[in-house]
Amino acid sequence: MSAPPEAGHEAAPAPLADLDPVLTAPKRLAFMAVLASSASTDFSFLRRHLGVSDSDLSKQASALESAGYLTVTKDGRGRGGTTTFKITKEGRRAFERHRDTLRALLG
Amino acid sequence: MLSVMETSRTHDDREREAALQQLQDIERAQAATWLDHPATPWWWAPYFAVWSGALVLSVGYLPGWGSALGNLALVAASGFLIGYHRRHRGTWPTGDIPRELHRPLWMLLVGAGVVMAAATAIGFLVSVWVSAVVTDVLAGLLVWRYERDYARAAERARRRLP
Repeated sequence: MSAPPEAGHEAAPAPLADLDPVLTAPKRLAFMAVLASSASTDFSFLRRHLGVSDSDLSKQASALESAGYLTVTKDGRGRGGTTTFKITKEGRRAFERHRDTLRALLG
Repeated sequence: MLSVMETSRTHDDREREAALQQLQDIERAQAATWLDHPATPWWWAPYFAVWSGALVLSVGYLPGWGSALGNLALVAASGFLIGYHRRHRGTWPTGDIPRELHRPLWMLLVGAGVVMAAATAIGFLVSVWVSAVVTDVLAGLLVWRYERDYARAAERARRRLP
């Protein structure tokens, strides 16, 4: 039997452990939020929205791709080429779980 | 003991503040696909005007095979426009539409219905050529008005979600 909560202490909020460590970084969370609300989004849009450099965006994208949360498509080469990102099912599930945990924290 | 409780409460408050901030960031990022894009080019409304007038002629004036070819060309033109739109904006939004944009989007849908009804009625009662010209003007005005209202609504949404 678990001990009753001490007087003056409310029930504990949703455990922080449910927050996805990959998404706790604000840039990666915003990255995934954009992808979760689009069929696909290109590199320039994300760089503009997140206000980051090319190398930083590539770093964040690599971390998310390694986690299996997005897929990357490259069309063309050089200056005319475009890099497009798309969220995976696993990425959408992780993003929604993370967002629901944040909501639960607010009670 | 009091100090421990105060520390604990402050820690909880900080967690809640951080969670709230992250949820606000999510909301802004999700709205960005609808709000943050370059202005549509000057030829946007004229393109729709010409396209709509051509559709009336293709359906109502051209003979069977000509109509089929005309419709095919118009579908190809739509494909080009969608591709251009996607590249121009850099994204293709699918998520929740910010509430400020509901009105202009509904107005566009209702307006498109009115233009189609007018085109059909004029085509049957007057002539296909008159219908094409009227449709051309009405569709152009509808898209021009929609673009103006959308830009204003998007600006309001950006102010709400800084």
